[in-house]
Amino acid sequence: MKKILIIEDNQKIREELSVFLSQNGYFCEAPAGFGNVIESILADPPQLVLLDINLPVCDGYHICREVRKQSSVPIIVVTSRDTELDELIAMNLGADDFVTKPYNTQILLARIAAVLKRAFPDSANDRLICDGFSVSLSKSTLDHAGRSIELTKNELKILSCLYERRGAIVSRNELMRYLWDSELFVDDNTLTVNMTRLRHKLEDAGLYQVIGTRRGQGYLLQ
Amino acid sequence: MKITDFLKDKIPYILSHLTVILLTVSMLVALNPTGGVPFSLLAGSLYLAGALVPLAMEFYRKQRFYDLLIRTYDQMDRKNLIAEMLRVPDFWEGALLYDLLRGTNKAYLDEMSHLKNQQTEYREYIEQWVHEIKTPIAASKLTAQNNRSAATGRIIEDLEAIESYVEQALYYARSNTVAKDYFIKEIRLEAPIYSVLKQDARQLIEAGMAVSAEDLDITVYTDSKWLEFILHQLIINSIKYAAASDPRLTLSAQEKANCCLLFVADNGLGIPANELSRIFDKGFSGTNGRLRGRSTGMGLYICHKLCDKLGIAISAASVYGCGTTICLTFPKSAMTHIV
Repeated sequence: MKKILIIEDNQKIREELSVFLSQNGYFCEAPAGFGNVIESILADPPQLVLLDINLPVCDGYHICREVRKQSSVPIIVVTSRDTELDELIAMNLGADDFVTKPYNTQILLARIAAVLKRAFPDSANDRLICDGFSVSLSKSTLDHAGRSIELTKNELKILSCLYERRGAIVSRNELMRYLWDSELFVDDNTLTVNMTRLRHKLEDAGLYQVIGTRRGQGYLLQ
Repeated sequence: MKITDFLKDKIPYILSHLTVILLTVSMLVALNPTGGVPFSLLAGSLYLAGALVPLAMEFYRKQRFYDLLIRTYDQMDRKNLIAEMLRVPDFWEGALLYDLLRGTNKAYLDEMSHLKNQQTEYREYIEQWVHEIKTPIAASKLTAQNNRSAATGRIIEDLEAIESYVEQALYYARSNTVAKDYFIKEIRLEAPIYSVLKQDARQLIEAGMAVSAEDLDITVYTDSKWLEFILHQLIINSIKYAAASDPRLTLSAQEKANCCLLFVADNGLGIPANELSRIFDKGFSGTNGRLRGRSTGMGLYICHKLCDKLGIAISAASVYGCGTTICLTFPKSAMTHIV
């Protein structure tokens, strides 16, 4: 499990962010003191640092600069200052990404995942193991009984979204938000078409009733 | 300064001298000196010349000063600085005027800088306040997200609305000051567009909006944060005034010889033709705003101001009942290629 260090002076945000990231499969550490942040990052480096800029003792830019002198640990700067200049300063000091408050949590998760993927390319969890079949994320294929079926980007995303929340109902809107990619904007019809195609592919592979429908509520991976 | 105007001003002087000359000449004629009438006329002419020379000199001096004053004034961009452009005139009245002008100018500049300071202070406060309020909003959003239920879902919606209004206040404060706090650089048009569409994804999905963004691989020179704010306002408007069935939002761009056009088009309610010219006015909410009851008339007004500062032209076209298209025109001069 990846360890994320949250450097944030607001207690509520610190706690809620820890809970939120823990729910999404990360191990979080959120120190309440800011006296020796730099030393603790260097002594026990996490896989990623979420760094606020306005901090007591010394500001985030300083921490960023000092840490960068000795370590290449991925740093995402999180701040309520949102001008281009702030972003530029953060990037120049060696931050890997820049997210402004109040962040959209989905975007924050996506940025964390992207930065981690860049920093640790091999360790990414590549395979979703489901009941009776598995999915390869890097090859975008569905493997079942020795056969391999190609999946499109959207089909892969639908499966991974349902997989992340397996056993629970995922509403159509939630699925659409998950699919809503930077260059592909999904509407209701697109989702229906993709879902139908995915089910056909699963049935072709001999997998029936894998994705259940709850009328008026959404879908569910058994 | 025209000679007639000057002479009009000198009527009492001229009249009194003419009277004196007439009386003197007639007295001389009556006394019948040895030179006779020609001598009397000669004396009169000498007197006349003596009276005219200072008049002519005065006219020349004043004309030189006032003509320069008027010409400079007409050419000046900031008329209040006129006193700075003058030489001290060599006649008393002019010197007095000059001193007074300088005095008023100084008083005016003092007042201006006082107001400017006040405005800057106010803006700095707003900016600070906005950053401060973002922390509790972020905290509440996280709390709500960690405790998912129908109720927190609705709270998140409202928190996002608050966020959007807070952002609006920040940009309103920014749009009003002379300080230049934007940062123009080369960007690909699609980057801010995709970023905003992602930010507004939830609202777009909930509105059932079919979004398409095409032909956006164009380079423009602008501040992407400001552009994102403007686009957010436009998208929120499209959602607010969306069509009841099959709502669509289309973003597209066109590259022209000396500019680049970005179209944000929807198939929503549209704007009545007679209101189209006023939609960028402050506080104008229009028929749609009144019908839907949620318009403050600020969004497009702020967009317009920000566009002005960034040098982007913003215009709207609409067919009432069929949709609205907002067009942003980014300049692309020879200058921008050098940057």
